[in-house]
Amino acid sequence: MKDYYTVVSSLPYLPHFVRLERLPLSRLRLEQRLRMLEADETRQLLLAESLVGWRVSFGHVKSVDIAGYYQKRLQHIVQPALREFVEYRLDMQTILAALRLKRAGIEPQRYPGSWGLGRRVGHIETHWDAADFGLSTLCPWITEAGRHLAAADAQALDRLLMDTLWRKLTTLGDANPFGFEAVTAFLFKWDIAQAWLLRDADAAKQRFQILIDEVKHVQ
Amino acid sequence: MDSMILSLGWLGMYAPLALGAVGSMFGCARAGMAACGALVEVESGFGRFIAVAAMPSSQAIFGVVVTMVLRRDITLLNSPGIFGLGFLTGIALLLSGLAQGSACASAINASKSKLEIFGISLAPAALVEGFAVFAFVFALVLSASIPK
Repeated sequence: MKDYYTVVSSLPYLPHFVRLERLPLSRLRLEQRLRMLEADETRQLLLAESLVGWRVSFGHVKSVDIAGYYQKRLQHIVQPALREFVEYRLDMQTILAALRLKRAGIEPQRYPGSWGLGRRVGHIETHWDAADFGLSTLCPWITEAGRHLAAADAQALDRLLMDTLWRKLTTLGDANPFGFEAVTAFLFKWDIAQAWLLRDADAAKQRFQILIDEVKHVQ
Repeated sequence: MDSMILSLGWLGMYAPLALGAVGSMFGCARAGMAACGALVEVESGFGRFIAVAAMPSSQAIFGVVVTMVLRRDITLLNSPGIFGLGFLTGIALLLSGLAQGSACASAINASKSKLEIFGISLAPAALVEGFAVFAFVFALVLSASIPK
């Protein structure tokens, strides 16, 4: 097992995203630190982020091609810790897609193309009639997510999913505090934190003003 | 058979130094890498991080002393004792060097963003050092009972 003492120690402490007032590290600096890894490891991390980051843009990819797009790129992610997280995130997205389909009254078999990805698709289709698809023991957040979807409370749903992912990343990082797990955990936590901070326009304005005041040395 | 027993005696005499040095090397490397990473992140306090990174070097020093204490003419009578004492002390020093390196790396990583915990974060590393000192002191005490 390889150790990553230098990279891990070069990353700042990242408190829980709801307590953050601003990111402790810019994107540029983060990518500079990640370049301390081997080139292939950095490539895998950035590829995983482009696939399962908080807000993924598919650009020119058509919705029917998305499953193929993922499967092709997933082959390049071979780091066990990173692969584990990517699969967890894909499972989460698949379960959410299933909850949305169910709410819209669409049977998964009637959906054009692939409606989900990964190891849970077959299980969900088999247990379609159950409210939690028989997965609430493994994924306790499903019931609450279903409630937020029913109430059309997108903010609460986002926060629930972010918190669930954050806890998963904390567990992953703690498993090997100076291993690739810790680097993976930091990158995706940073991604969540950035998404969280970007979503509140008023708070963003306030923070921007504080930053300007700091730069201008206004007391 | 006799030559093998004598060889084990020589091995045991040098083991504390060699294994202790290996433990110190890896320990200092782990803590040193963490210190280098922290230096990228912090604006000051560089000296204290480098000082912490040197902590696991004590195992090599203990190894030198134990090897000097065990140094004597190797005979069939004292060879098994020297091997047992030297080899086990060496293993203890090796593992404590590795463990102390990890503890120092964690201390550096934790204190880089919260300087006020620097002192207390070194407590685990000091505890690990304590176990190395146990092995060292008892090796010195027990070496007196090995025939010259």
